[in-house]
Amino acid sequence: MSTTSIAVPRPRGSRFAWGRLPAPLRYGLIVAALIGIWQAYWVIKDPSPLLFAGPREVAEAFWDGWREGNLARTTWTTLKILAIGIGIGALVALILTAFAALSQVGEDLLTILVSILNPLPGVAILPLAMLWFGLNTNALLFVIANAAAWPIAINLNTGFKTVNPTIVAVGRNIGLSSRRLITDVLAPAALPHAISGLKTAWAFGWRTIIAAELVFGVAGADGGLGTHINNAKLFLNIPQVFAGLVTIALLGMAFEFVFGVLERRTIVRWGMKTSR
Amino acid sequence: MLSMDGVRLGYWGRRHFHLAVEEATFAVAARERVIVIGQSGSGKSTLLKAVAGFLPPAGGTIAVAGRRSLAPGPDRAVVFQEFDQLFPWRNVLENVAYPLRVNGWRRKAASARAREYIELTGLSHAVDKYPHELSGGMKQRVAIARALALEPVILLMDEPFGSLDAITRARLQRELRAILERTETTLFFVTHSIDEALILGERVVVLHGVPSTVREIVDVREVGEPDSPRYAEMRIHLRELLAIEGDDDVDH
Repeated sequence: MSTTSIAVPRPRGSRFAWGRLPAPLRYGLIVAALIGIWQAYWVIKDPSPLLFAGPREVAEAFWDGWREGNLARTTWTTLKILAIGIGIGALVALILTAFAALSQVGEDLLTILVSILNPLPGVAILPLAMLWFGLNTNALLFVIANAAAWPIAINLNTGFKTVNPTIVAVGRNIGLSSRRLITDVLAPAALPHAISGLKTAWAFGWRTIIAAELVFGVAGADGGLGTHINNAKLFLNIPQVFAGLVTIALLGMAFEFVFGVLERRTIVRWGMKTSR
Repeated sequence: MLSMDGVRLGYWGRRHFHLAVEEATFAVAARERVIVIGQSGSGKSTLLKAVAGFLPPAGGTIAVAGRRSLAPGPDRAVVFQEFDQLFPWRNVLENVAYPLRVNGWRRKAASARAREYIELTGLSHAVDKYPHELSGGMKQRVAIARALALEPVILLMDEPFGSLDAITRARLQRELRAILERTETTLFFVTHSIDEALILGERVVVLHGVPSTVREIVDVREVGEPDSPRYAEMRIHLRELLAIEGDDDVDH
């Protein structure tokens, strides 16, 4: 695989070349402009503070939330449940794909499970999970694991199926044992698919857990970010609602960044995924 | 070093067994360079796969250094035709050193030996590069270095230059010949190109027919350079054996 870049001629004659500014500055300026519009709306239209909050109030609420530990604690709770849930989902996916790689029955089972369960939105099984597990973390874990398992399984299965047969032949030729063929050849060869499966799982899991926590509501001291937002709304603490949303957005961006770094250090560097 | 005795090879389709090689009997002596030549579908690659241990013979025996149970192994290192035979996640040095590590070499020793063979194939300037940063010719050089570094009992090559442009192919053929002479490597090389066979080989096994049999085994040691009369005669002789009609050259 080779990276092809097409040289696009820069438009000439424009006095101010936006595209020539460094990317962080470009993005920073747009964010600043959006916050400016937000502030202008807040000042000019003066909406009810029971419905809306201005940038300054939200920034203060965000700062207080993190300093007092409220937001930090709920964020930590959510991330912990999410990580464990995705971990369980990934384990289930790994077992199912291994089974699928080894036998036709396994392959058929995976195909059917994926086609039934993957289109199901994660939160749709929350009512059942609450009945089965009660109003506790286990119900959330079950829902997250279900949301994460299927995208990972689909991608891993494709990844293992599309490994270049020449590479496998080379692996056997140089004397690799079956175990090392899996860890040293099949696993890295399937990495692009594994990463994209994990990205989708993360996205599904993240949306699912926030939605589930909003429904869940009353998890008391153990509540996560969704609970935090819901509670803030109950107490009409609108800046705190916004602070929760900002936290969610920032975490989403952080994870995009982490996955981006991971990809650049592995599959992009190895030419297994073309970078943009 | 390698002996084939009444070897019969084929693949199982959905219901039927498709015979590719009906009968092949020949031997490759130690330090000898033997080229198997045949047209598409003559089962020449199948023959190589069987020697490499990827395909058990349906009849007859294949013995390498006296051994008849041939699981795939580094004593019969293979260079394939495909450019994507390198591990994309390892750089040039690691691609050559890793198979040595797998076979019990210590890190430093494997690395030193890998550098030696990378130098032999003229890629010292590219040790840090990843395969996707290399040209097709460079990739094949790495694959050759990787196979040679394993110091195989017999080196197996399956049309390694088949996907290269004519100029690069000619250069690599010359270089490979020099390297093989220097390292005294025993070679089993499969191709459909008469010129490649004449440049690289000492003896040429001509496969003919579908399923194929060995039509003739030709000694090409004394043919000389491509502009010599002996070379031209031998070229015509091999073309006749392969039953190539008209002026089309199989190389082009």
